[in-house]
Amino acid sequence: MSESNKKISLISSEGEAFEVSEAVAREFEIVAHMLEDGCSGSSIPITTVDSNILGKVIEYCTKHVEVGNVEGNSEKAEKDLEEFDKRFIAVEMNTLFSLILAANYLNVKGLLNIGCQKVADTIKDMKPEEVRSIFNIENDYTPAEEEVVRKENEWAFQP
Amino acid sequence: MNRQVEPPEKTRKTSQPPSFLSFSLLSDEIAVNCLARISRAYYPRLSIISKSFRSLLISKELYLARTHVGSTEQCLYVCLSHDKSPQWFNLWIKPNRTLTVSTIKKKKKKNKKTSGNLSLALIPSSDFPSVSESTLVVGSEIYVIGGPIKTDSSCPSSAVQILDCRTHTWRDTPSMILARNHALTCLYNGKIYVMGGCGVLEEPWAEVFDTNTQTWVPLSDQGTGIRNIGTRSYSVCRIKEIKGKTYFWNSIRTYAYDTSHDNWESISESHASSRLTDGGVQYNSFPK
Repeated sequence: MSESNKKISLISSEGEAFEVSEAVAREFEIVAHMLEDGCSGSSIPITTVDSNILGKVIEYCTKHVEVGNVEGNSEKAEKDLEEFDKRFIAVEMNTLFSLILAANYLNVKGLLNIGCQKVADTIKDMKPEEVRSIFNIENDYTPAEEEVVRKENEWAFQP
Repeated sequence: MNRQVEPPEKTRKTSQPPSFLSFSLLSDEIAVNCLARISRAYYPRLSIISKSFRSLLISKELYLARTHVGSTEQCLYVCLSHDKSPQWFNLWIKPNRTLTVSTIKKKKKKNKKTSGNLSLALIPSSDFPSVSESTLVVGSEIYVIGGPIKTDSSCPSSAVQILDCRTHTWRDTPSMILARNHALTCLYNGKIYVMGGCGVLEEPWAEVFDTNTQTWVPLSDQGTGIRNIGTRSYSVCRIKEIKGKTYFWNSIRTYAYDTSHDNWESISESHASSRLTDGGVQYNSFPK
């Protein structure tokens, strides 16, 4: 079982090293593939992710690896994990985006899923104007075009 | 028009460049992953956000993603035709409400347009005023097959129109070989089987459309006995596919078409009187 004790250093965009177990590093599919391709060396640069976000992604993966290793009482463990995910993803919007981008790049599917779900839950009840302003989206409709689309979907805008 | 909105104050807290704060700068793939998790009932409002948002909301990629994340929904489409040309509607349920008996009752009272939580949203009409009862759902599309055409109630048609339920737009698909009224139609294994809806001697009485190759091909000859099934009216005939066999029947007789062997059969009379319940629907004269 020496494999599981192996440590790997993940290096953030600022050059900070995060030492994690190989099991945790493998949660990053991009890293898992590197390891399978015989990429030797115990430090892997993650140049597009900063320390703050990398730290969070590692926290997420560590928790999921821990829970995955617990034997028995899986129902309770699953519930705990759900609670953890909920708390973990309750972050401000820019952090959420950074987490999603990092999860997408590093290919951490679970984190990408909860991140996208969080965005979905956040925007669905917002007014179009709010979504534009919070997400910094440029409204490329002309006023006339916007009016046409509003008219077409009139029933959806009634209080 | 071009609104530039100040990014939230906490931008500098992380070292991410501020451009990451823009939803529009998330890749389409990620945006689609987010939008796929939202009920379709929200899409009309979201389509106001921007043109690119709107095109994402009607994209094939989004519907693939919805299948992928398991958020597909069932939608109700209704075609109404009275004196006017047929009009298609999509039942829209206000988000956060569930359809209950009381909301349906309310809806009935007020009838048209909005009644709080429910609306029949009008879909732009096609230029094909068919009131054919031969409609089939194939994936996210509704096929309206043949006539009668509303302009002349007895006018059959060979045209086939498709309503894309993602974009609410109509498109043509290759016409049948023969013009028909209320033909019997059935979908099996990506193929649309069409029978009757025409005179007994017209050819081909039955044909099949392959949705992959987009071609119509006549089925083998079935003989006059079978062709007589709809002589009085095709509207009393029913059709149903079970394990690759297409059963069709009227109040007296039942026949089957075996899709794998291109073979027609008459189902014996002893079976013809049996009844079968299927998901709350009772089929008369249905073979066991």
